[in-house]
Amino acid sequence: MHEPMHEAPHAAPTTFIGKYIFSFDHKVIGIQYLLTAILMAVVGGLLSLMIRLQLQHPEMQLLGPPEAYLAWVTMHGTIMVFFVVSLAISGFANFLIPLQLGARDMAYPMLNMLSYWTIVPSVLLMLASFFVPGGAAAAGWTMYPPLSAVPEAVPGSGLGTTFWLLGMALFIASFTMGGLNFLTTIVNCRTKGMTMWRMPIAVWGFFIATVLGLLAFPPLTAAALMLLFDRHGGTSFFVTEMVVNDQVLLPGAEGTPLLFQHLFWFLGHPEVYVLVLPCVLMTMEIIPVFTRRPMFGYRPSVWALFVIGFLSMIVWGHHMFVTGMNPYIGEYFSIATVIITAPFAILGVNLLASLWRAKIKPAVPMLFALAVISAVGFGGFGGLFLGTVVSDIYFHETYFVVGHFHLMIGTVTLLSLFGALYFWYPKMFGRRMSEKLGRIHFWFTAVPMITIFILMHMQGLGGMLRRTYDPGAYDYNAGANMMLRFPITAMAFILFLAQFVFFWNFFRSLKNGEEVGENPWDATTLEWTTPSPAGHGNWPGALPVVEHDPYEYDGDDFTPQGRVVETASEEGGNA
Amino acid sequence: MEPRSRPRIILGLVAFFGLITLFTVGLFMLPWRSEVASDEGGGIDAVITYLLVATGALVVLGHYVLIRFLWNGNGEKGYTRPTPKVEWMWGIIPVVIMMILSEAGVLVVGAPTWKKLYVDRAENPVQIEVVGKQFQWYVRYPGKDGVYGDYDFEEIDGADNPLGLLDDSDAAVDDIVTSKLRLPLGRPVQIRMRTHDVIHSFFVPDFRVKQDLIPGFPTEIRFTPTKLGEYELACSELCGLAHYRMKAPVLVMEPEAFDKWLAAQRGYFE
Amino acid sequence: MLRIALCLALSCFVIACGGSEEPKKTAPAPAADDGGSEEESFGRQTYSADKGSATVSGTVKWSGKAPNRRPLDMGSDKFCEKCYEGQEAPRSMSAVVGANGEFANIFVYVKNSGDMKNWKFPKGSSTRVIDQVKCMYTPYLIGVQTGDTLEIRNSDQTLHNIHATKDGNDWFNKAQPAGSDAYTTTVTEAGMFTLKCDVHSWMKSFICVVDNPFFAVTGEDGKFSIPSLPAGSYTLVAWDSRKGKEMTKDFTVSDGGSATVDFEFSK
Repeated sequence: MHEPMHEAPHAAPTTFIGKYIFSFDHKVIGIQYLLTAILMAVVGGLLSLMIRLQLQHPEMQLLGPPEAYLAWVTMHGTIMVFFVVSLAISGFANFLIPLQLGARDMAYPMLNMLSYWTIVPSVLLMLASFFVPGGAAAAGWTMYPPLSAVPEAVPGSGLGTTFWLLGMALFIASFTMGGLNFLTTIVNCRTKGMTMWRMPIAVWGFFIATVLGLLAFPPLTAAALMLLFDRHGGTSFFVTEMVVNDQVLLPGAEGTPLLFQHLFWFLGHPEVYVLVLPCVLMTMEIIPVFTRRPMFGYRPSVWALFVIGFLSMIVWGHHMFVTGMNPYIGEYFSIATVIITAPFAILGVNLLASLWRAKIKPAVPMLFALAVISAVGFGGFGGLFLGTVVSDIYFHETYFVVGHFHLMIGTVTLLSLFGALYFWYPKMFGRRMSEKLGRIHFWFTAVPMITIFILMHMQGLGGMLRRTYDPGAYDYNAGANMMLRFPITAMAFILFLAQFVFFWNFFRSLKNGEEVGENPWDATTLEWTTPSPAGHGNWPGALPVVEHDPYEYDGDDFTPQGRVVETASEEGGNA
Repeated sequence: MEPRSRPRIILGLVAFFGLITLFTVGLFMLPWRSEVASDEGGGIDAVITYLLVATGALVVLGHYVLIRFLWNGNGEKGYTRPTPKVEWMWGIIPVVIMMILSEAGVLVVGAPTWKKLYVDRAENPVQIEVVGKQFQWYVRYPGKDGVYGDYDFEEIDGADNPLGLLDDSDAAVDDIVTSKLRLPLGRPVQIRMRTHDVIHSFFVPDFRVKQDLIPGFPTEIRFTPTKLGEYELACSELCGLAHYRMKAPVLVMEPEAFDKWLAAQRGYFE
Repeated sequence: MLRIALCLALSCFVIACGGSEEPKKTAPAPAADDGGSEEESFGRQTYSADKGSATVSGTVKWSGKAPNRRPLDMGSDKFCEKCYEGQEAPRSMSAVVGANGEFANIFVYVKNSGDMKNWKFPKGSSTRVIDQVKCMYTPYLIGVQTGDTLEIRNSDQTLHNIHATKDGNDWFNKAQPAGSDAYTTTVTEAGMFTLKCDVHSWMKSFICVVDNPFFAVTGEDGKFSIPSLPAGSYTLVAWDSRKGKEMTKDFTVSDGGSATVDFEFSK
């Protein structure tokens, strides 16, 4: 049985450092995560522009040689997956879980602070790796050995890869601390009346994603450590005897590179859901507020989540269809993979049907939410081409894959995160972001973000391969594949520039935004029953008590999920 | 209904969703792939076509619903709250549709081709070995004896002995080593693959086939070329700084011409 | 815990910044180098070309049946293949042997021992050029003195990758797409380096680095000549790049004199 957390588990901070730097407060830690993610997004975004410039004019080598390009590709992927989307989700999870469940703070505030401050050295290691001899890691974000194990094979596999592996180990340590905290808080620290089936659906997203992450990350930790041993300890888990430059390296080694791929994708596939699910569910959370209707299919969606979570753990092999795996196992992975579209269809129907005969208020968070629905459609169906084993033979490692996963873990997640940021910004800072700038930001973000990656699907259909410094090296890429370069690159620049509108809006609104009260959006969930921004312990008086399901909207009327019973004096009397 | 009742931004979104759907469907109909040049490639193309049609229909349907709900999203139509029964019904219907559509792609349209590529064994296929190294392909034919000669990594020398063949191996004497992949038209070929260093991947877009080369673990693929011509063999797994230009020419020849060419080659130690 | 994490991050950052400059190979100075400490170098003269007037010359030969020079298969790169369209394919350069056994591309140098130790040698200051022409390295084998500048050009309209190693350890590994600037580096470490192109695996050459200016490479006539030697007794080394096989012979020269030293390699 869970117990409401009546007292904040730590004292109110008194110093600046205690309040804003080494804070125990989940709201501050959440914002720290978000700001770190934004900072890393700028780095990751700049890398993507460098990649686009190179692909636009490969023959001119504007920015560097092939080995540098591979480092950009690798670090762009690593940064975007682990240090932008993951961190931003951690930020929202930190911020929202106690507020939406009616807790004073996270179950383990100290651990929470540690989890953020473990990310910081991890980020520094990743950034520092660009400046070591040989440059940053260059074996792709998937780090397949032997390429990543042998410095002779590619310059980036020197010190840069060591930094990468250590940074990743710290990241996983941080994720584990944060994840345990999320789970404990969700299971144990809900307020009175907040049963599991009354939890806002975003919390369900964090819950399932965290369970998946905690189950999936240990194999990656093992793989990273084994790879470190292979690189520096003389073991041969993943490496075999090889010849580079006519020199025999690692004589006698008889490891198996495929083992790494299995360990990596055992994490890697659930990781996709760790990224996508919380983001899609935050979007689901936002939609009813602006349709002014109850969410469609709350319970089926939660059950679908469980099914997706389970299936995601048993389909990792679809990343390895062409590695020469046993054809029967390949067929099994394919059957299991494409079945995931079924529970996903429930989420899709939920998203769409929530709009049925609604009274849509087109505020900026809602615009992003609508774009997410469209992107989930385009992205999700693309997955079928890759999950079906026969078509994947052709599409594997082409731009179809690039387009697909960017749509899912790039467009869907980032659009969701933008929507969530616009939506919860008032609760974070007590002020609103500008609607007008928000709309400009929306159009110049959503349109290019969706279109770019749809176009990449076309390049993939043409067989264009990913991670290539100069696609023009192949004659079959001439023509259509090369023609699509320009629109993609141009839109990438528009997309990047549009983010300055967002930065301006974000930082300017901290001071100049319109001040708001407790509940600027007329929303039902618990976080809107406390002042914006919420203070130490989240609710100034007693904790709210939950009496209803989370999405009781009826046009402009709504029934808050819970209310704060003004019993400060009563409680005092009882005591 | 007068347009006043719909905010301009909703109309903008309706236009965007409509256009991007038409644009995507239109683009997907263009001929992006080159003409298929292998028997198995035809099967792979069939699966791709099936999926394009199936998912295309669903994308259009989904966006139609989205646009319609947006268009009607002014609260003017009467709303009654769906009962849990309705919610579950609309949960199960898409589940059934997706299960049928997706598994049909794998089990009905796809499985025969998958079987042909990896399970069935052709009779008397042409035996070829493809060796990948940073950043070049080598092709080896076993010669008249039909047996690949022994090799030793210690003997590898890029100029003098790129595969490290042993001159005291009897089977190696008549091996033929080239850097172009020559294939006979209409005969099944069995390609054994191995690599000297990192993971590479054998990809000929025109054949639609792809197969990784894994260190220490020889892999195989089987297919039948069905179209004469010259194609490109690409490395499709990141293998280092010149990965992007690790390519080799592929020639599909008339069977007679192929036999003639093969007979004219001198063995490696002859 | 927190402090440890911060220290780790900080130290990593410091390492990263420290390491960001051009990596330098600090080779341990060979025993008979130009004198590490002041005491050792006491009494040594600094060498310059006018201080030596003797010459050592000779011929390197191959005895027995000449190794088979395999034709190079350049079919993987259309550019390279086109360079030799209508001509006979170029052959492997690893054992170029003339009609009478003249053995080309042998690196001959005077070892830093014996009377060589009486001299201090200023660092080299020449620029040594390797060009990549028609998918081959010219020259095939180059002699370099430490301190010289090595310049590697790409005159081909295709990507080359210059990858230099010694005993499996990288010296440098750079891509040179068509039209790239030449790569230049100052040579600091003595030794026999292999230079290879990973893209065209038949492309292989050798950079032979020594600490004194007395070296030569045999031509197609198998002949070499090393001038400007001061009088003394020395050891001459002939190094065959194929398997790193070397032969040594002692010789003595007086001022203005000359010595003839011949070598004969066999399988």
